[in-house]
Amino acid sequence: MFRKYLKVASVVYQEGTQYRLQYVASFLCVIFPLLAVVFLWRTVFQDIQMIEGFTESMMITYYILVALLTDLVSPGIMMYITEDIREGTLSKYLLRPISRRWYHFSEEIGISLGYSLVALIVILGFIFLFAVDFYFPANLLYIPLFLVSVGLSMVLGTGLTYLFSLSAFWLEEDTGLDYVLEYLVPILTGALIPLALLPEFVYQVASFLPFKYLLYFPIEIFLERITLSEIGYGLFTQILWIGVIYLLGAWVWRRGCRRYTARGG
Amino acid sequence: MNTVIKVESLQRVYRSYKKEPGFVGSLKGLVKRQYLNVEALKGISFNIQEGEFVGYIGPNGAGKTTTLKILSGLLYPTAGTVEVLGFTPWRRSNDFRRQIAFTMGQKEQLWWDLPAMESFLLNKEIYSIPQRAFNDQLAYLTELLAVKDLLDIPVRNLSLGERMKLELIASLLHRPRLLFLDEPTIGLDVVSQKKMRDFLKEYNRREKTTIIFTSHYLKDIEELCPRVIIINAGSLLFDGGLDELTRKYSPHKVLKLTFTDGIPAGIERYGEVIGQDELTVTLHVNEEGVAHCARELLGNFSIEDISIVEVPLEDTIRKIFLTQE
Repeated sequence: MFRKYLKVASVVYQEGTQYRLQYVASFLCVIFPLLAVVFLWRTVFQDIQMIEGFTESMMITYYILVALLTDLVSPGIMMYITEDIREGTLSKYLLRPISRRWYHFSEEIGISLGYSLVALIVILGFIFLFAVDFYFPANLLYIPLFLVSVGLSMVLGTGLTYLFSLSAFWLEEDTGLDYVLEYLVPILTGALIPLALLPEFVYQVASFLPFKYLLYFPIEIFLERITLSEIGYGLFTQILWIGVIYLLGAWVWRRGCRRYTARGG
Repeated sequence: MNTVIKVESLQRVYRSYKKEPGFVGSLKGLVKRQYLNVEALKGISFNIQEGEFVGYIGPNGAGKTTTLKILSGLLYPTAGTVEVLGFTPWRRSNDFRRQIAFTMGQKEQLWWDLPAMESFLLNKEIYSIPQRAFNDQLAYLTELLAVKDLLDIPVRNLSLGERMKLELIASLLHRPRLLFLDEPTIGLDVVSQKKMRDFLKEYNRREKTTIIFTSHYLKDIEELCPRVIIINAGSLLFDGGLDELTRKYSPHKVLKLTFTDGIPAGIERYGEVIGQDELTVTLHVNEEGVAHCARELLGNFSIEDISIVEVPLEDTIRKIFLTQE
C-alpha cells in the first residue's frame, strides 16, 4: 500500500535528475539570494548590536535556514495539479487506483529531497567558504523540536499547495492567483524578513494564518527565540492547521471532481 | 455470459458560458455570465457482455468520448443509471479501478523523460501486481508488440507509434477486465495501424478482455469489431452486428460495369445509377436481385468488365448520418 507512494517519490526524483542543467541552475538560485542578504545584513549590523532580539549571527543563520527549508516546505509544484486539471491530464490519476493527494505528497517529497540535498551541500560550502558565524542552539533539546516542527511544516506545506492547486477546478483561466501567492507567501512565511521586524499589525495578521508555521516558527525554535511552552503551543497549532487544511482539501477535492470535465481527451 | 456494462437513459449536460470577444467582452463576462447548456448525451441505453469487442463510432462531438469518460468514472452523468463491472464508476473505488484501463491517444501515463520500464514499475506498485504476474504479462506484451528493445530508452526519444505501443502495455500490465480505447490508432502510419489492430485482435481473443473502441478509421472497426454502436449528436443511431448494419442501411451491392461500345440507354432500370462516364457505369442493385441482374446484363449487352462489391462501410455510415439530419 505504502510502497506505491515510495515508488512515485523515486520516479519523480529520477525524472528530476534527468535535467542536470536545472540542478546547476538551482545551485545558483540558492547561492545568489543568500549572498545578497548576507552582505545586506553585515552592513546593517556594522553599527548595531541587536535588532528585535536578533544578533548578526542569528540573522545570517535565519536566512541560511530559510534557504535550506524553502524547497522542503513549499516546493511549488502547485503548477502540476493546476495544469492537470486545466488540461485534462488529471484523468490519468483518476483512472488508476491511487489517491491524487498522496501522489502529490510523494511527488513533493521526491522533488524536495532532490533540491534540498543540493541546497544542503551548497550551504555547507557557503558556511565554510565565507567563514560564516553560524548560530547553533545551546540547548540541544531544541534540535529535535526543530526537526519535528520542520516535519510538520512539510506536511502543512504540501497540504496548502494542494488546496490552492484545486482552485483550478473553478478558475478555468489563469487568474494570476499563482503570482499573488508567489509574492505574498514569502512575506507571510517570514522568508523575506523575519516577522518580528514587520509592523505589529502585519505580524498579528501573519500569526492568524498558517503560513507562519511553514518557516518562521521552526526557525524561531532553532534560534532559541521562544520558550518551551511557546514551542508546545506552536506545535499544537501546526497540527491543528494540518487537520483543518487536510479536511478542507478533501472536501474541495470531492466538489471539484464533480466539475471536472476531463477536457481535451 | 456476464453483462459488464449496463447503461440506462444516460444523459450528460455540459455547462459553459458565452464570452464576447475582446477585453470589454471579458469584463462583461465577469459581471454577468450567460450560461450555455450543451446536451452531450441525450439519454442513451445499451448493454455490453463480457469479452465483446465493440466499435463505438460517430463524428466529432457526437458524445463518444463523453460516454467513455462516464463509463470509466472520470465524469459524473447528469441523469441515468450506469453499472460497470457491478460498480458505479464515478465513485472510483479502488476495486473498480484495478479492473479497468483507458487509453487515450495523447494522454500519456508514461513518464516523458524516463525509460518506459520506470513507468511500468510504477504501475506495478500502483496496481499491486505480484512480481510473477508482472513479469509474465510484460514478457507476453513486449513479445507480441515487438518492443523488447525499447524499454530502456527515455520515452521522449521514441516515435509516436512506439510510444503508443508502450502506452498500451502500461494499460494492460494489470490485466484489466475492461479496456477503453479512445482512438488508439490516431496519427499512426498504415503499417503501425495494422500492427495495432493485429495486436488488439489477438489480445481480445486470448484474454477475453472486453474492449470498447472508438476510431475514425473504419478499417479498424471493420477488422476488429463484430458489434458497432453508432452515436450522433448525443443519440444512439444503431446498435448491432456489423453485418446487420449493412443489411439494414445498405441492402444493395455495388455493380460496376464497363461496356465495349458505350453505355446503353435505359440502364437505370437495373438499379440506381451512382456514377458514370463514357464506358463505365456504377449501379446500386438490391442484394436479392443482383445475380439475376448481372446475368441479364451480360446476356443483353457486350460487356468488357464487371465487378460486384459490398457498399463500403464509409458510405453506409455517411448515409446513416445524413438520413438523421
